[in-house]
Amino acid sequence: MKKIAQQNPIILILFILFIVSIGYLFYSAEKPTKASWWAIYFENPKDDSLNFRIENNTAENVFKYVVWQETEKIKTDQINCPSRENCLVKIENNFEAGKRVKVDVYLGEEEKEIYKSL
Amino acid sequence: MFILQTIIFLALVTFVLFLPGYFLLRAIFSRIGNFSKLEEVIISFGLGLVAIDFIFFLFDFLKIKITVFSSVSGIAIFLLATAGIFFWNKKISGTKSESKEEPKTTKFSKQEMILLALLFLSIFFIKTVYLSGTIEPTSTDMGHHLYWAKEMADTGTLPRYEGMPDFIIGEHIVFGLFNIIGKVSFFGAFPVSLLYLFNLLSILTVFILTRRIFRNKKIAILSLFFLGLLFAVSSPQAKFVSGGVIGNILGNFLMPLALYFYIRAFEGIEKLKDGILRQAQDDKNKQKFLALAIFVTFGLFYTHHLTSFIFLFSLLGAIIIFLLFKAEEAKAILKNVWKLVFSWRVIATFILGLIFFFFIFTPNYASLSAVDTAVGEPVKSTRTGLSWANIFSMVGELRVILGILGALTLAWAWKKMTFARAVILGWTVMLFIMSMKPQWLFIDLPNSRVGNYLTYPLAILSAFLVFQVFFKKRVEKMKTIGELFFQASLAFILVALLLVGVYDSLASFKNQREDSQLSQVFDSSAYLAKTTTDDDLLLKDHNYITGDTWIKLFFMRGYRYPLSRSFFKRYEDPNNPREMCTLYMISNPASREAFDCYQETKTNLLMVNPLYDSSQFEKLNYFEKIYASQDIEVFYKNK
Repeated sequence: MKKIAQQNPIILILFILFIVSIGYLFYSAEKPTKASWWAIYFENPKDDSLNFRIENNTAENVFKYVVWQETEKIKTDQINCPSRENCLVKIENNFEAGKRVKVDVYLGEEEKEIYKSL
Repeated sequence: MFILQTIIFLALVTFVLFLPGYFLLRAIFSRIGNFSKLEEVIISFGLGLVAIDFIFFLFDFLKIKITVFSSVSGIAIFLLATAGIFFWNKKISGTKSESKEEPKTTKFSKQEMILLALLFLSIFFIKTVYLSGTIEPTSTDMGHHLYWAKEMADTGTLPRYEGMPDFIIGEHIVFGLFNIIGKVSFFGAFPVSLLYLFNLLSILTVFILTRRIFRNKKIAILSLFFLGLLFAVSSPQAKFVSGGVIGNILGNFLMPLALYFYIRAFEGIEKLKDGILRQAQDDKNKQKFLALAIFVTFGLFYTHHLTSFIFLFSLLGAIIIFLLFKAEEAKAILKNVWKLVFSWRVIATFILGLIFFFFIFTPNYASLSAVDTAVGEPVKSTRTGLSWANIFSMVGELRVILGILGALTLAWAWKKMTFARAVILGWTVMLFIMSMKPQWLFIDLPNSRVGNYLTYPLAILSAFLVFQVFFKKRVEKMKTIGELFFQASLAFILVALLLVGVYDSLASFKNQREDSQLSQVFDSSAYLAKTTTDDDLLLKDHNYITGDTWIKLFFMRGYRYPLSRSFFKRYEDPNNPREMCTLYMISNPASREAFDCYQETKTNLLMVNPLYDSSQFEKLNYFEKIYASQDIEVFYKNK
């Protein structure tokens, strides 16, 4: 190394700078994101199953949900889904065919909905 | 974890890029002394990049599947073969140095070393900080390109691009190999890091090229200042890296490298009145340089057609300018060139390149229809030529002015004209004509893309001008008032340029922001890739969804999957009428046109940003909302 430093200092400088830069870029890419978001989705989008999942990337963990058949409220419940986890919520399908079933999920004041027509 | 990833990346850079190039270089030039150590390192990466392409063209031709084992073996065999040639040559010719010129032109003084260290530190600092803020996989171009690299990694074969001429194999092989051999994720830091390496190499290549053109270290250092430090972030520098403009980045590395070898091959050709060279060894070396120039040129043609096109015109411009300036000696020069070109090393390399190009692996753009799109009378407003105002805003007023003054100064010293100097003039003049008056050359290319290339030769010419004015030792001790005034004006321009150049980089940092939408895009894409089949057709929006071109990497169901609602202006372009279904199906799904489009395309999944495009689907009972997050919603058409 000493020999390289004496004979080709430019190459050594470039080599060190490159390693540090690349290391920093890889570090930046892996740095945990501060972004806070959550999502809900049906486990099986194309069949009549109403089971859904919550992808929780927030610091909160209590999600309330309401299940509707058209305008009729069928079920209200809540689920504890820890931060950075994906949780399955099972909904039994006792609904009438041809009706739209909607699931409203609340985290604090934020609300999201998904729905299917059975 | 990032330390391990960094080590894997550096090991891949060494094994896939550096070693093949270095071994090839030493196999050709077994004896030391033709290059400085810095030149050896930079050149090795370029030769490695091209060598890797050719190795895997052979794989494709021989129907060998590209796997970890086969790729490592292929590269290892290449290394062994070139090492064998090296030892064979060494045994025949000995190890003594071939040239004694190196120490004079490559050794830097202590002051120059400090200046270089500071310059490199600044360049790395600005670019790295900028890139660290844009490391997330969001760029449109990168998403498109990495689809093909992933296809190569998934299938173990070179992509055929579904017949599209816009993509060229040299842009993707190295990315595919990194994933195959090192298992590094396309969604991590490696694609940007690799492009960053090539961007740095392009700047360093200009550094060694400038030193060869002017045989002057100070001008080379100044070129680093103009190209590397000033406007370090703007296009075609770090912004092209983060934007995944792979072809341009690689082209900007390979083109100066090819020019470097042509300059080395034709160095001093104007001085020789009869016969190429006095010594057989010099003769052989020049043939080797020319062979390498042709090798890199083929590499360029396998990597980026626009840069190749510009390269051909630049070389042609250089030859014309050189012969014009050396009209009296033209006959002797052409005689020397003839002898150099018609040597077995050069001819063999050229024929081998042609065999690869036409029989082993032919790029898609090498078809008449693709050539037709680049040649002809330009009609579109974006192709009929840039104005000076356009050039100024693209490259920077002061850099253009300095560059033009540098070109005039260079041409003024016509008695000192060499092929190397003609190259820099030809490069600049042709780029100006191609971007401002394309009809003169009968070319039909997007002018702004061509104009971006001016940055490189103008940086070299600016460096030359500044050296002439401030650093050149003069015979006369006294300076005239005119000279002093010119120096003061130039100093003022330089300070202004420094401020503008650095401000430009700082301004770019302000625009960076963390965006959670990307995580939602990737989460919904992974969900759909898992729960749908090839029979389902997804249409996503390009206008309001971040990183949407990366969605296709989750599915790998063809380059055109998913369908995309493009930028709205594209549907209104009278010069380029296009299908309207992707617009109707999202913007107005209840319309008659959209109904027909759904029938025709069988589209049944839609990914949109709910802030702009959700209510139109919620009103229709045949759409089900199956995924919902803050920035992404997915609808399923159930009938």
